[in-house]
Amino acid sequence: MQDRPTAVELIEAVRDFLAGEVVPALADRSLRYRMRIALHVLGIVAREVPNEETRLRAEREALLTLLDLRRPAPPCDPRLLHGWVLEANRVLCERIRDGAADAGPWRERVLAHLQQIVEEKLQGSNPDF
Amino acid sequence: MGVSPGAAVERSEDRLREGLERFIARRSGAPAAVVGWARLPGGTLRDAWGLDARIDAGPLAGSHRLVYLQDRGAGPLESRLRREDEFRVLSVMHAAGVRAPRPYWHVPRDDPEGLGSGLILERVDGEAVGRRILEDPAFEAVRPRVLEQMGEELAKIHAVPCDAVPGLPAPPEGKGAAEAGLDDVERTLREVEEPHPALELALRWLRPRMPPPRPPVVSHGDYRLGNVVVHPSEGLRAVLDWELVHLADPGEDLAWVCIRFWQGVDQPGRRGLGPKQRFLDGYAKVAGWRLAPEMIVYWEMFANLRWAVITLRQARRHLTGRERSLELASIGRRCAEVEWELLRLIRAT
Repeated sequence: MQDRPTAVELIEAVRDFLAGEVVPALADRSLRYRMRIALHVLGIVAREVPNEETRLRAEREALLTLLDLRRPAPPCDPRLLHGWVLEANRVLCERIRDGAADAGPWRERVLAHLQQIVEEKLQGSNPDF
Repeated sequence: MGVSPGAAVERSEDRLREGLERFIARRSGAPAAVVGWARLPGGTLRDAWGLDARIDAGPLAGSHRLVYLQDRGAGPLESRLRREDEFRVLSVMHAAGVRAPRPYWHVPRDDPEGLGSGLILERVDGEAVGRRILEDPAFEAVRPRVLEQMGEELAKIHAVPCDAVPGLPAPPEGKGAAEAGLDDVERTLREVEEPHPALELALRWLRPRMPPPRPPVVSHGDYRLGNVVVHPSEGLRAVLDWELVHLADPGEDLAWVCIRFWQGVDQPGRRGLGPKQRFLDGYAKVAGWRLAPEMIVYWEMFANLRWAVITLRQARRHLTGRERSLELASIGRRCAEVEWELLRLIRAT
């Protein structure tokens, strides 16, 4: 376990420093614009980092059900988990391309699943959307 | 002895300014001076400087308010026009009476002044930042008119004959413009190699609904709020950013303006410049035809999908190391917003 401040607390410290001390000192409009993007990006990271693993595990569960896959033991390593979810999403894409989601109840389930995932992504990338 | 980064930046700006002075003198064939100079907010692909130039003799004698757009890094993508072609497009559009900035010079990559490839254009007064046009009270009176003007101006662009600018990217022989557009978007999505189920659903929705082939038009390719200069009393003054011009179905441009992301037209829960119909009416008035409502739905789905794959491709430019850029990297996080919109459109049909 790492000591306080946590990773997110450190990111927030950097954000406060940039927004409070660096931005007011920037005279160049183009740099100020890019600094606003940088602050926005740090905000995304601070929102996404704490929930990433929980969200990946939930997405894995949802994909297992949606794709009706065997249930192996969940990977412990977050990188393996990430790779698993990526591959399962490839399988989902293939099934959509093959027409399995063109109509019928499975289409509704796919739409509901994707709505859930996209809203979770937006909570990280742009909660005001 | 340390040199502050500020001083280094100033020196390189001085060199650039002096280089531009020599360039303008050489190309105008007369003594020239840059009398005003300011860095402007550029785009994701280029840096911009505003310059006031004084040319002392010859056909261009007088004062000129200019902008120098300098390619950043690798320059335009393969999918974009070469700068000399963009310059030709601007010349044709300007001559056809389209409100495009008057093009002055194309700066080639190997120019002896070492300026770096780019364009020198007329600097048009007004506001291009969409957020300010939407929110600044100074634009309140002109806002209702802008959408109509954007429709009228797009019809003027589409009226320029396809062969007026030779060599524009065009649908392959024997393939309709709509099909070529969809193939293009699908190819880009495959190249990204990241699974995006929502985008696959949109592709499945689009294929069987593809409109029948119609003759292509000169499509601006990025026609939207953010690429137009608006004046507080006159409204639309110029259409910018012509590097994505290609031959396409007119529906591409018509719907691009209307997608949620650009905030140009009113959306459920979000105000834009006004109702979509006002833009479409402006177009119909000048073009003499209008897109059937079911075709607008098709093209809006297409426009959103196209924007989604562009966000992915922009992020790849950063990720592959070809052009490290915070702005490009952050665009990758925009894809989810477009996926949300695509899912909404799919559910609505």
